[in-house]
Order: sequence, then C-alpha cells, then structure tokens
Amino acid sequence: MLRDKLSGICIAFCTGLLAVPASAQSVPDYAPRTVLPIPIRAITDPKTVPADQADIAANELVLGVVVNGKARAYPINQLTGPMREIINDELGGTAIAATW
Amino acid sequence: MYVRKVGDQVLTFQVSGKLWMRSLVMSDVETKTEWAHLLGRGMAGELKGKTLQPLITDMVTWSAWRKQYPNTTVLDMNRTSKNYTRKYYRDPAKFVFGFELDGKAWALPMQKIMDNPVHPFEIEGHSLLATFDTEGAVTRLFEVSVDGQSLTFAQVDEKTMKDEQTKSVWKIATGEAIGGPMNGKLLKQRVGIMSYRRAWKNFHPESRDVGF
Repeated sequence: MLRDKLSGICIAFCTGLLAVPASAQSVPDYAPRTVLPIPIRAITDPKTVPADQADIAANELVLGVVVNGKARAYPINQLTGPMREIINDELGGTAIAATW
Repeated sequence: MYVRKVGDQVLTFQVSGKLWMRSLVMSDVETKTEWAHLLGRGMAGELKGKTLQPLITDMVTWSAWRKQYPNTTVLDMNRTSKNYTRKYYRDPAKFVFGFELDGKAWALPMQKIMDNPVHPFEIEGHSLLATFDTEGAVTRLFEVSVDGQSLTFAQVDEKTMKDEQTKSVWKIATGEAIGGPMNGKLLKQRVGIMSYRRAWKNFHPESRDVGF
C-alpha cells in the first residue's frame, strides 16, 4: 500500500522531472484568425490510380511518400485551396494525412 | 505529411477555417483539437501539446518520383491549381529546406543547396548530408552512417557522388549506391520540408541556417 503510494508519487514526480518536451525550441504564442465560420468537411477515402493512369505532367510537383514499401504521390495542383489542403488517407496499412 | 494518430486514436483532419501566421490550422473531427500544420502540434483543445509523427516526404517532380517508384499510386482528384510545377521555385532565395535535430530547428537555404548539390555538414555532433537533384527539383537530407561506418561524400558529376572511405558510387537523387563495395545500400533519409523562408522563421523563430 505504502509502496504503491510511494511509487505513484515517484511516477508523478519523476515523469514531471524527466518529461522531455517534443520540441526544445519555444513555440510562438497561438493566436489564430478565423477566416471561415465552420470547418470544411474532411476529405476521406480519396480515389487513387496507378502511375500509368495518372494525367500528370512531367514537371508538376508532387508530395511523394513511402509507407511500408508502398509509394504514393499527391500532386500539389490537386491539394491547393481551402476545400482541399488535407487528404485523410491510408497507405501501407497506416493512417496518414497528406497536407499542404 | 503525418501519421494521423495520437496513441491508439486515429484522427480525421479537416481545414479548421482558422489561419495562424497565414498558415493552415487543422482540426480533428474526433476531439476538435486545433493543430498547427507546419509544426504538427496540437495548439488548443484536448490534445494540446501532442505532436504528430511526420513522414519523410519528398516535394519532387512527377517524372523523378515515377522513375524512382514505378509502382507508385497517385491521388486522382481534379486540379485546383496549375502553378505547382518546377517553376514554383523561380526565386530560390525565398525558400529553405527546414528540419529539426534534437528539438532544434535548422534551415538549408535553397539557393545554396542548388549551387552545392552534394553538401556534407556537421551540426551538434551529427554528420549529415544534404543533396539537391536537378531533375526532381528536390532537396533531401540523409544520414551518412551505413552499417556503423560514417561516410564522407563528394560530388562526381551531375547525377552521382562518391564516398571517400569505400569509393562506392551513389546516386545523388536517391541516396542509393550503384557501384563499389556499398552497391545496393541506401542512405537513411531524414524528415525535412521545403518551405518559404518567412513561414519557416515564423514557426521556428530560433532556426539557424546550415553553413556552406
């Protein structure tokens, strides 16, 4: 009982002492500006196609990512604008967010 | 690009309708927490202070990506812009490749990495390598240790570099060895993001430039 209590105190105390912030740098004060009254509906289950079916020009920029050996490209020309910007996707068994 | 998960909870992100320092604030449908896009950090709400795991992401031309990953799939939505081709970088002085090391922010000026496409450097005891691939218009950051051996790279020609220790030949674009004792080895890539210098500095006011 006492030991449980002590270890509880120790956990609280030690984790407080040892907690390493995710980022050692200072984060600027959060002061957002509201530009749209409500959030834009999330984009989920996006359609994707194999490379040979994609209508993308050679010099277009994409965001390319590989998860567990599976590669996917997100053409930035499809990601811009407030109605897009975030694509909730699954790749290589992992839930990912492609963001611009 | 992030893993959209905190602990065991999968999150669904949406455009919150807010901007912070002219940059996207995301919110998640599940907890309504507001997230700074460039920091991947919860700024307000239940998950405030949590961070999302960033994924290694290349901002690269379609031709170079497809060459490297022939089996890639591609998002298939209608275009919302036509501006994002390699011409986007017409003024390289405005861009940096930003990354974090031991929680501190660093920036590689784009013009300098373009002028020095194979750039080994050391910061805070870490040996790293930055490369610029012209075809892909892409900056990448690599670790230089392979199987416990630290390698020193120098450029050979437009597409290849060589390490001093084993004399192996590597592709600048992908960090893959294509000749010599290291043939077939791949340098470990690190997370970084091409960003407007102004935006990177806004979110990382203590960021320092990597020397050249």
